Amino acid sequence: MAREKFQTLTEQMFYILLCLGRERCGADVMAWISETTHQRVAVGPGTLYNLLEQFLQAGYIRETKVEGRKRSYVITPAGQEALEAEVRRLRTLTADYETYAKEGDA
Amino acid sequence: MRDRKREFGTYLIFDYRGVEEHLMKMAARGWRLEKIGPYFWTYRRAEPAQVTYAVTYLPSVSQFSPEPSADRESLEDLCAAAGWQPVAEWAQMQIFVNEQSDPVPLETDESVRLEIIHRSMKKNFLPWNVVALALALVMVGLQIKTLLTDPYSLLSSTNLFTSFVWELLLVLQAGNLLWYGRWLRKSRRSVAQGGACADVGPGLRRFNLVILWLVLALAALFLVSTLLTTGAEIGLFMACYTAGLVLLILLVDRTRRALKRRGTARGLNIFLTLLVDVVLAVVLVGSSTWLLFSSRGLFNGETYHYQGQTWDAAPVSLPLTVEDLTGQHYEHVRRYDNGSGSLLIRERSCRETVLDGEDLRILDYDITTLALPGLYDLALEHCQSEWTDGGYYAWTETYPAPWGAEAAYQLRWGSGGSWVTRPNYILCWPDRVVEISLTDVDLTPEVMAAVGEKLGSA
Repeated sequence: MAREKFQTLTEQMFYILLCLGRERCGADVMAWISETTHQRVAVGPGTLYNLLEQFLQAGYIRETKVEGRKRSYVITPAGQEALEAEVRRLRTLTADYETYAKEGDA
Repeated sequence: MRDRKREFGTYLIFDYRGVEEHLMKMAARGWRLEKIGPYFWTYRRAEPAQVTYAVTYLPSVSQFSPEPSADRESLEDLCAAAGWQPVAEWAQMQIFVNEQSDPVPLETDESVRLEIIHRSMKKNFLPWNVVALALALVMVGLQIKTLLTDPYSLLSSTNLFTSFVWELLLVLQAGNLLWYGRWLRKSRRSVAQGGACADVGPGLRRFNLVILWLVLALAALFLVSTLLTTGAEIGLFMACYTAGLVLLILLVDRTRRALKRRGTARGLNIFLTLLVDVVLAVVLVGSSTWLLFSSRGLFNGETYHYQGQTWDAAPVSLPLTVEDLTGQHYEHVRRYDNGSGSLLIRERSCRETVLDGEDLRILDYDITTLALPGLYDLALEHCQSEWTDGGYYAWTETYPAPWGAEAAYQLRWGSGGSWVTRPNYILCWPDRVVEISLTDVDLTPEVMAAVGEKLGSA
């Protein structure tokens, strides 16, 4: 069910999983994505909260520590696999583009 | 100048855009949302400002969840990092404000937004709406059955107008559910194509407001009807009952909030709040019933005992008394006058008992006044059927002129072809049907004329 749900990751999901390769709290996730993408991708706190909940339920991330209100997370092997599957999908898309778009030009 | 302002909350929980836009308009006018109560939203006065309000949802919390909720704290922590401050919560809806000019939106993924709204709706709104809709369907079905089998009891009920609240509830719940279903379909289609959730629009709020005004109009009609048909004591009773009901709602909500603040577990909070609700409802019904009976004593005045019976010191006035029929004055009198019915069919039951020497004389009559001529046959049939349903009684048409009535009927009793007339009569005028028992009065032309004169226009 969860696999099906996250079969294709949105940009926001992709960057959240990517940045959780290292343990980070929610606020750090928002800051990292904004900085890394030069503010091209913004994750709102409401969306982030709910995506983190969904990733936790899907087993893509796990909670590492709770300090007061602050919760930190890190990606799990299942999450890493989903991230890599998305990268493969994107590479296939890019490769298809390279092949067929150029054929079209020719 | 007022520092606080209250507004009746008419938004539905999935109308996040309507709430956000309304709160921003209020802030621009100098009113900031302070809290959301069971029915009213409270605002405090502030400097007019262009601030951004945004709404998100926490499907995991409910109105009974303990505070502080770990989920809510976690959300607030994330929001604080982006400059969003919590303002109020309403069931699963969480309202935040941001003073920055161009803040990062609270929600940046419409599919996530749609999912959490639907999960929140499934938690509270949808189950309660379905239950209320089912209840309204059952009640409306019962009303239709009553209308078909016993229309008189429906049309003469004191609750005639309030009973239409079920029809309104049916329309309201069905309308809200259909509206939500339509919004969900449109939003799913839009989000699938990369767009935003659909706009609920002002129509749903207007629809809810119209239903609310109709409910208030029915309540007003009910109060007017009660006062006109039953008298001051029932009016006092209704006023006290309504005040008690408002107090009950406030106390139940206070209990829920206090338990929530104390961190009581959700299940225990629901149980204790329901317990308080039931106890207060029993107290309300008990005390209002006591008030009803004590107020009757108050309005009927003092009583005294004589020859082993209770008599009225200052009897209430009746349209027709034994004295009117016999011409004699009676020292010891006991009277009963009870009004009921609706604005369409008003019923008045009168009974007088007098002490005549060693004997008691009783005069008993019911006056049914009709607001519409079309109700005449219904009222006459009802009046007759109260005696004839058992099969031993029948009504025979009799000469109406001595009574000054347009039609008159006398009761007969018997079986197997042997009938005995009884001193019970039904007297009819176009706007009223009177049933009178003249057991203890000699029936003379003068008595008949007096009855017709007094009751034909009472």
